[in-house]
Amino acid sequence: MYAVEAVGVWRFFSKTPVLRDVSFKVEEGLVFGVIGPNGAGKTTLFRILATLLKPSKGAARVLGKDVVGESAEVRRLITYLPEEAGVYKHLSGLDFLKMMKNLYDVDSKAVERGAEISGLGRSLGRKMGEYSKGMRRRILLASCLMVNPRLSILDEPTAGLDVEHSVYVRKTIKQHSAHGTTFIISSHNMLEVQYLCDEVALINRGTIVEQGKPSKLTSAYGVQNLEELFVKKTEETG
Amino acid sequence: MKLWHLLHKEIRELFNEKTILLGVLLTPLLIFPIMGMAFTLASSGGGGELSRPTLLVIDRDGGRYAAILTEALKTAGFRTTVADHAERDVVELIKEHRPEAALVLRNGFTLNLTRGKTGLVELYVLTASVSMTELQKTSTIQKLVSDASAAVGEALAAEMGIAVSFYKQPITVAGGLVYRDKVVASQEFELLFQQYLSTTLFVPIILLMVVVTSGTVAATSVGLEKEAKTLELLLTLPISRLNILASKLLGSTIIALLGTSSMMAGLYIYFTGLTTASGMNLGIHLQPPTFAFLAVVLFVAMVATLCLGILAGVLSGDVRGGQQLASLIQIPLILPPFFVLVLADFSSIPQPYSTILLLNPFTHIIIALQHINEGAYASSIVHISVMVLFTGLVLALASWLFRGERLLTMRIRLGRRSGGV
Ligand SMILES: Nc1ncnc2c1ncn2[C@@H]1O[C@H](COP(=O)(O)OP(=O)(O)OP(=O)(O)O)[C@@H](O)[C@H]1O
Ligand SMILES: [Mg+2]
Repeated sequence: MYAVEAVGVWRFFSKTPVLRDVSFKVEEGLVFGVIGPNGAGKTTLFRILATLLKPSKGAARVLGKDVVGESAEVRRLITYLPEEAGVYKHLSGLDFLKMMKNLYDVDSKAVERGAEISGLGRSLGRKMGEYSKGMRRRILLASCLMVNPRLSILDEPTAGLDVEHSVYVRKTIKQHSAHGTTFIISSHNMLEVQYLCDEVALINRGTIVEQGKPSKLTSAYGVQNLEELFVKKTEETG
Repeated sequence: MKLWHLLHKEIRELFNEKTILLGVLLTPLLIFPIMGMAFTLASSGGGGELSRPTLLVIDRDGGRYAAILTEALKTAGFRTTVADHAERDVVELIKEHRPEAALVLRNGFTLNLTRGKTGLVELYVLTASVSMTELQKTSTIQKLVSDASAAVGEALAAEMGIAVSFYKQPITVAGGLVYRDKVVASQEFELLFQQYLSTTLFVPIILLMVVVTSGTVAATSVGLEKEAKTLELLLTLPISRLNILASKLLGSTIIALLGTSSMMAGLYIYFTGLTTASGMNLGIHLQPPTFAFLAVVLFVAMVATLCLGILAGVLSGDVRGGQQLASLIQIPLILPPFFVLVLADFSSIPQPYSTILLLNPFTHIIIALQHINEGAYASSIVHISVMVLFTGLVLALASWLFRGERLLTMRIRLGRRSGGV
């Protein structure tokens, strides 16, 4: 069984195709990276996998469950960090973690884990409305990781984080991956992708133009790093 | 139940939202007492002074009846001053004496009265502004003058040996009112009227408030998620959409009930102030079955507007848009039946209008209230059923909106605002 399996996924907004015949598979336990220029369709793809949007054509399965027909089951298996997620302003960070623990119905240690992942310390008692952008990102990410989901979909997890916390988050993702969580992440930071991802898909104008292990891709194209590959491929296909 | 974990968050966010705190919880508590205070202030403006206004008597007649009238004016309640140089210009005299009113007794006043003709006087009332207080002052002064005039009439009649009070009121009226095929004494009718006020007027007012508040609150609870960009996270949580909807409905209900209690407290303060002044008793006396029926009606109406509010929240982009759209949907639905039926009996409304009114589900609520008030529970059930049906429909619509991706992708434009996830 694959963690994610997309077969011929199309998505239109009114008449505009945003995803065009997207097919890919993600094996369980991997960290799968989705890269591509702004407006390529990464967030739309993630929203479909997270059961928020329906594919206009084609089908997607998450851990064997159809994202449309079995959306409730899918939601039980995943966590999703939206690209532009906000927080409940009047809940404290700790209240929020407790709520998430209860909703995912996981062990009581989860809140402790979340508190540690967030690295927010005493600020956990403050209302989330007072948090900075980075602090909000950290509490949301912590809630996604602390419940130990089978699949975690993270849309630009380190966007807005300072260097120290980006490094910390990457390490945390690696650790959770080692414990069996599958990740599908998007990022504009190619260093991050190279460091984190076992496999990447380059998406441009709604289609996957290249997919494979980062090291294999770079050697196949004779480029130094993912950044060069990214530029080369998007120029080719754009 | 996972619902409770969401409910906690729902109430926290709503309770702390400024527009709710101000508009739903605080303002109603203050607005009625403030209204009451302003009203009392306006109606008693100038207070004790007004009860004995100053009057400048300009006597150009100098006869016997002029003297009698001047005396009668004093008895009626004026503090009178008699002008020394009565032949001078009226405005000049008023400037000099600064009274609240001036009365000119024309030359020939006494002569006319002795000949059996009416005597002529000119009344000038000084007005500082056009306001309730000034209007009231004017009517007080006019009443005092007419009292004095009546007194002069009695003096005239006495001189001629006529029992004036007999001629004025030669017939005494007895009997009573026939209400619901029974003769009711007028005192009893007063009691009935008070009951009418409490059930037919106050219950709908409270209903109106609950309905408007709950719609606003429900719209806000969806608007808040959109504004804070928490909706995507909420919708991917392992909790069913129906439970999410239920937590929103329940959370909004709790806040709306808090808001209603606050309004009722405000109203209570207002009316106790008003009624202790007028000596009326406006306590709401309800029999248990009436109470049960009212509770059902209130509940059904509230669920319906909660769903309409959710609808408004889903269709708009943020809190303000949601609240605006909620009132845009609710006000035309609720106000017409409310005003028409509080003022008139449904059976007295002419044909095309009554049918149009019946198309509005909220009309049935008010008719049901009237039936309940009259103890006609059976016929109220018909109207309650219509409302239950409507409520079921909007509830179905709301849960349909919560299914699939509609909550994220549906948007309508209100004014300049544009949508987009
Ligand atoms: N709700 C929507 N309605 C209409 N068009 C949309 C909607 N959501 C996304 N789009 C369009 O779909 C395209 C892909 O958007 P998407 O957000 O998936 O891109 P992305 O790859 O995540 O970009 P970025 O790197 O900037 O996050 C864009 O052209 C966008 O305008
Ligand atoms: Mg994106």
